[in-house]
Amino acid sequence: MDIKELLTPDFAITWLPWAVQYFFLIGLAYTSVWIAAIAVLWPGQRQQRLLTLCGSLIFSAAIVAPVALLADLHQPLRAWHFYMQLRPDSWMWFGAWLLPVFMGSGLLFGYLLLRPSLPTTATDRWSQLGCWLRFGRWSEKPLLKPVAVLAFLSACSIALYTGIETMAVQARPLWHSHWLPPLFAASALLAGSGMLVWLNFLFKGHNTNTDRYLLLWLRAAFTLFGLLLIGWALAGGKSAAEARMLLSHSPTWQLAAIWVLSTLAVLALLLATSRQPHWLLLLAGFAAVHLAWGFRWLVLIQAQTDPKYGAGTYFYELPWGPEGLLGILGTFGLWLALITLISELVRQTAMTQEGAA
Amino acid sequence: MDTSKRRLLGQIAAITAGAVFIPLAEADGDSTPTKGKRYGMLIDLRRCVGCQACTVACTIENQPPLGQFRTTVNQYEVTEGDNSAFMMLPRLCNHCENPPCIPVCPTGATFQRQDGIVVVNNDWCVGCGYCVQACPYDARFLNHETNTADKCTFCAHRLDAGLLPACVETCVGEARIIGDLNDPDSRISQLLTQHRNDIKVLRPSMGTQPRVFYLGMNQAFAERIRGEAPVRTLMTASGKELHHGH
Repeated sequence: MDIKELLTPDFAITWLPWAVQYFFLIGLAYTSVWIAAIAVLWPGQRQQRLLTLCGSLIFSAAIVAPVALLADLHQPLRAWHFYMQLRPDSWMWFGAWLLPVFMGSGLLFGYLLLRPSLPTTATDRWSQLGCWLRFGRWSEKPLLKPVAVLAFLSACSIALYTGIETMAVQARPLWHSHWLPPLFAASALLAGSGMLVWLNFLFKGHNTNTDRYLLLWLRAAFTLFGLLLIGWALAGGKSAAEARMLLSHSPTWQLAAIWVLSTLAVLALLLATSRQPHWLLLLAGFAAVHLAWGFRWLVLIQAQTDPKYGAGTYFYELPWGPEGLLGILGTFGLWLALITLISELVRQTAMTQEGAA
Repeated sequence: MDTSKRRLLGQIAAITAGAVFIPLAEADGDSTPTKGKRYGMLIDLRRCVGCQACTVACTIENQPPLGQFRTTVNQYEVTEGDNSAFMMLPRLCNHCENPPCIPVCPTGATFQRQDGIVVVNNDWCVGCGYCVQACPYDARFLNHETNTADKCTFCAHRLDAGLLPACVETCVGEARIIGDLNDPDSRISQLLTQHRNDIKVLRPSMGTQPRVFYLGMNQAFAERIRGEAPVRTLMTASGKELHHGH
């Protein structure tokens, strides 16, 4: 029996590109908490450079991510409704409680990581602000480990809820797979390490030891992501079957698959090179960030063009306004402004450390 | 005493003890949701001509924004061998017995009434769209004007006033029948019993137990359509065409 659809309505996407921005930025925040917490808790020498970079990324991303999330609510001023009743069946409701906890613990951890790099003497306006942000003369060292543990656990809760919230939607077979939460987390780790490579390059006082350490993280995250992707393709059940069905007839999904595979191949080649010139590492860092963002785009936006009942796929064109491109650029702009501000605050210490070295 | 006699005596004792509670159960009967009204709809596809009168009536009654629908009639061309036929499939919220849209709601804005109708309190909805994602029927949408979740309510406001839903009222072929599923004498219950073997629901594999039933539907339409997509047009909110094709 051949069925041809003659008249069926199209459905617009419901979760807008703000959701991609939230999942991407919160991923940067929780994975930089992981990387920093492991560096703090692991016995051995701590690299202050790495901790400063992680602190900057945690601080900036953990502030901008909830802004993007709030923007994805179509009634953002009603966000307080989340806290007015118990909804234990809804992962989003759990998220509404877990996110402020992460904001608290993550931002505190980020501050403690950044504090040693804040200037101690005021020579100009920026360093004066930096001095003031030290909030007096006290040592952050006794607090660092307990806060690292707290922030690490809170970061795990965010990785868990963001993954399960999406996975729980049975109506979208592409999402309804146990492979999705670990795939989100592994790709976030890839983006986090890639972004830290770039911050190491852009922040005053580039450190090659930090690059070497981050390369280990990049390689580990890439291997994990690659293995999880293979696992999903082979044992992903209905989710992988839906993807195969889309690949068989949709040119958009075919293009997406080519993009994923070619980015993975380029990244594999870049990371496999044994002697990494600096520019190659930067390229790998960029590819990692690009892959993680694109993966979120495919999962969160393009998956919504897959009809739940009808045939084919729906159209989606990125609008120019706040519900589209402007929203994406705006969130990145806000993040860029914050990270620039932080880089200015820690610049002087980097110069002093560089001079001492 | 042998085991069968012992079992018989046990059963008699259980029945006697149970009889004590019978009057109480009867007295409570009307207040329990299972014995109250439970609205459902039967759509007799053999009587649907695809005129979209229901779509228009619903739009006039409920005023959804341009391009958004609480109900509509999908139209298909079905070919088998040399024979072709048109198939009309009215779509609306299924007011499921196990609605997946309700547990995911983080604020409790969407809920099921005692009579089984799934509704949204759009003064409380935050517009997160989680319920829209969770509905396997694409029956929900985010209303572009209210910025909250919107869906068919079986015209609950009309039912409460003793009227029929706008789509039922206007259907020229009387293809839509609404009624109380808990009342064995209601027309819908009688038709469901009469056509027991021909009744189908959409996407039974999702375990949602829809309460919109279809009579005269081919099995090929029960789960997701495997066929050729229509010519789609992407338009802006003002109706300007952006893209056209499959």
